[in-house]
Amino acid sequence: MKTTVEDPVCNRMIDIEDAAAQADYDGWAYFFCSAECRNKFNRQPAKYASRPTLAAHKQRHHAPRDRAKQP
Amino acid sequence: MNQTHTAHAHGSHADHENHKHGGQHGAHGSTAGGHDHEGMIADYRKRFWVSLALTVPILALAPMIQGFLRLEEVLAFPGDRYVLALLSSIVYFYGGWPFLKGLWSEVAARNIGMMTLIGVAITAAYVYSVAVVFSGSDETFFWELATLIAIMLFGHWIEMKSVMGAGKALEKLARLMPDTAHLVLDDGSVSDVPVSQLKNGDQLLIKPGEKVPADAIIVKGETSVNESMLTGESKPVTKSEGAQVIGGSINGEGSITVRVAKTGDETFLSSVIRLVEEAQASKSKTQDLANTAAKWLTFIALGGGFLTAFGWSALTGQGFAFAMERAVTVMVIACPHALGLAVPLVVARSTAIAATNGLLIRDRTAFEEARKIDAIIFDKTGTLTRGEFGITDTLVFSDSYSPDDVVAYAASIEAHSEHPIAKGIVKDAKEKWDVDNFRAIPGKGAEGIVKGKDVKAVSPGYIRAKGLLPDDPRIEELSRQGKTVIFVLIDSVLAGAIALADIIRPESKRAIAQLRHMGVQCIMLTGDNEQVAKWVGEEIGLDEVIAEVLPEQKAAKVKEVQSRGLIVAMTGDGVNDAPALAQADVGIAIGAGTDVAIETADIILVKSNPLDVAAIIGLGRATYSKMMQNLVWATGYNAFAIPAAAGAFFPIGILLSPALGAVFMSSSTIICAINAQMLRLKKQNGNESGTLHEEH
Repeated sequence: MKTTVEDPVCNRMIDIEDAAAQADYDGWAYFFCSAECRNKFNRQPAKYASRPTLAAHKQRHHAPRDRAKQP
Repeated sequence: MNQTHTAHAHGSHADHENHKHGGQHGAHGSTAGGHDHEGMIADYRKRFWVSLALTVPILALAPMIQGFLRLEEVLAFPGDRYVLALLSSIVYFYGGWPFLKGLWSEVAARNIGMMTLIGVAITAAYVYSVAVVFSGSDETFFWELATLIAIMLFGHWIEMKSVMGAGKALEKLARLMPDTAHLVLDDGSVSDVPVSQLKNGDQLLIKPGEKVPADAIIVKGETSVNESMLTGESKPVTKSEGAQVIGGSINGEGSITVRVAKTGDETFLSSVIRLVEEAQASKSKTQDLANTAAKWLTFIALGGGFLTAFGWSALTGQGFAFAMERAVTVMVIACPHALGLAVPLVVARSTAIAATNGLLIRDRTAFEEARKIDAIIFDKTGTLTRGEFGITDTLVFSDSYSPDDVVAYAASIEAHSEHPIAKGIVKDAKEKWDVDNFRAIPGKGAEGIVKGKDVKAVSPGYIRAKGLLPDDPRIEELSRQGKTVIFVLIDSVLAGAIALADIIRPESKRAIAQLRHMGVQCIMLTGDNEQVAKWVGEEIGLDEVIAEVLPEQKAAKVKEVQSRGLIVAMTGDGVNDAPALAQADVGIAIGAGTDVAIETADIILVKSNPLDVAAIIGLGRATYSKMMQNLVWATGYNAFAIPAAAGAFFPIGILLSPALGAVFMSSSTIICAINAQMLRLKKQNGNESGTLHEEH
C-alpha cells in the first residue's frame, strides 16, 4: 500500500518507499525527492524540520520486552 | 559416518574392565571406535555357545547326572573323571575368561565388584573340583560349574543387548543426518559429496523428501520441513528465503537451495547428542547411592559366601561339597548387577526420550530435583505471551464504520511504523489502504489522508485533551486490564478505539492448569505494570504475579520466593534471564531454538511452548519414581534371594543350584531394563509418547 509524505524542503509529495534520500533529525525521519533536497535539509535542519513522519531509525522501538508503552 | 558413543547404561564399570578400558568414561562426543559394544555382545555370544556345547558331554560324564539318569553302565568308563576335568577346564578358562579377566583388573584397581564375585565363585568351584579329582574322588562340581558359566555368559549376553537397547535412542538421533549432500558448484552444476566434506558457506540443493545435511539458511525456494525428531514439533514448519533449516530434519514438498551455516560437531543435532551424552555420564546423588549400595552388597555377598560355606560345613553334617555349592550360589545370586544398572538404565531412556522431543537436560541432578519443585516462576514476555502485540478488542463509536473499517484505517496510517503497537495493528488488520500526506503527531500518534478522509490514529492523551473521550464503561474496563488503546479519528469524528495487548499463548492456560494439578505454584514475573500483570494472571489462572520488575531485579525476586522456603524453578530466556536462571533451584531456558549452548540453564527447551515446561517436570517425577522402583526391586530381591541361596529354605525343600542362582540374577537385571523402557513422556495433548519417532 502506498504512503506518501511531504518532502520538507521542496514540499513535494513523494512515495515513502520510493524516496531518493532520507535524513534523521531530532529523533525523527524525513524523506526527500532527491539528494539535493536532503543536502539542503542537512545544512539547515532546524529551518526545514516540521511535519516529521516516522520515528528515526536509532530510536526505533524494539519488540516489547517488559514495557507496554503508549505511542 | 558419525560414530556416536551410544550411551551405555552401567553402574560400576567393572563389567567392562575386561575389554580394555580402565578408568572413567566421562563425557565425550563422537568417539570413533571407542567401545565396540556390538563386539562385546558377539564375544559373549560366542563363548556361550561353545560353553553350552561342551556342557553336554560334561553333563553326560558327571557321576551325579549319570546316577540320576541311571546311565552309569552306558556312559561311565575308566578315566572318565579326567576327561570330565579336561572338558570342564576348557569351559572354565574359555567360557570363564571374561569373568577371570574382570576379577584380575578389579583386584588390581582395588575396586572389588561384580567380576570379583563371579570370578571367585567359579574359581572356587573349579579349584575344589580339580583337587577332588586328584584326590581320587568323584564328588566334583564340574557340571554345576559348566552350567553356571554357560548361564552367566547367556545372562550377560542378553543383559548387554537390553542395555544397549536403552542407548539405541541416541544412535537413532545420530542417524538422522544423511551421508551425502548435493553441492552446487560455482558453475551452477550439482555434484554429490559426502556430508563430512561440507564447509560453511557451501551452497546445497535439497530436493523434496530428502534429509537436510547441515544447519543452513535458505537462499532460494520455499518448503515445509518436518522437524519432529529434533524439536518434538509435530506439525511441519513452513520455511522460506532467509529461514534456517536444521540438519537432520526432513524436507517437505519444495526444492530449496541453501547456504551452509554449521557443519559436523557444530550442528544443532551434534549439540543435542553431546548434551545427552554428558547428561548421561554426569554424576547424580541417586546413582552414587546405588553405587555405594552395590559395593556393600558385593562385600556382603563375599562374606555371605564364606559364612555359608563355614556354616554348613562346620555346623551341620552336610559335608563340604554341599557347603561349597551353597556358597557359590550365594555369591552368584547376590551379584549387584541389577543394583548398578537400576539407575543408568532409566537415565538413558529418560534423557533420550526427552531429547527427541526438544527437552534437553543439562544437569541430571537438577532434573532429579525437579520432582521437589514447589513453585515455578515464569518470565512473562516470550514465554507465557508471544512477545508481540495483537488486537484484543475493537470498539466502534460511530455508525458509519464497522470494526474492520476502524482497524483498516488505523493500519493504513501505522503501516510504516516500527513501533510494536503499530506492528500489532498492521498484523491483525484485514485490509490496508493508500495514505497521502502521512505525518506524525509527535508524542500523540500519526495522521494522513485515507480514502479522501482525514484520519488520525492517536493516544488517549490526545483524545482527552480535545475533550472527545466518550463516557463508555468499556474504555475503563480496557484500562483496568492494562491494555494499550489507540483511538481512531476520521474527519475529526471519533470513529473507534483499538485495544492491544501482548498476546497470551493459547497453550499457556493449559500448561498452568497442568502444573497446578501437579501441585506446583505458578508465579509470573514481568516488567509490565500491575494492571497488565493482573489481567494476564487472571486470563491464565496464575497463583501470583510480580509486576514492574526491572531486568536486573529478576534474580533477586527469585531469591525472595526461595526465602519463603520453597524450591523454585525459573523459566525464561537463556540469555537475558541468565542470572535468574542460575539463582533458581532449577533453571529452565525456554525457546532456545537451535542455540543450545546455554551454560546457566539446567534444562533447555527448544520450543517456546509452556506445555513443554509441564512435560519436563512430569518427566522428572516419572523418571525418579522409575529409578526408585528399580532400586527397591534390586535391593529387595536380594533380601529374599541371598537367604534362599544360602540354603535357608532347605528344611522346606527349596534348594538353589548355582546355575539357578545365575538365572535369577540375570532376570532381575532384565526386569530393571524392561521397567526402564516403559518410561513414557506425557505430551501436551494428553497422549503419551514412548516412541522415538522411528516411524518417520
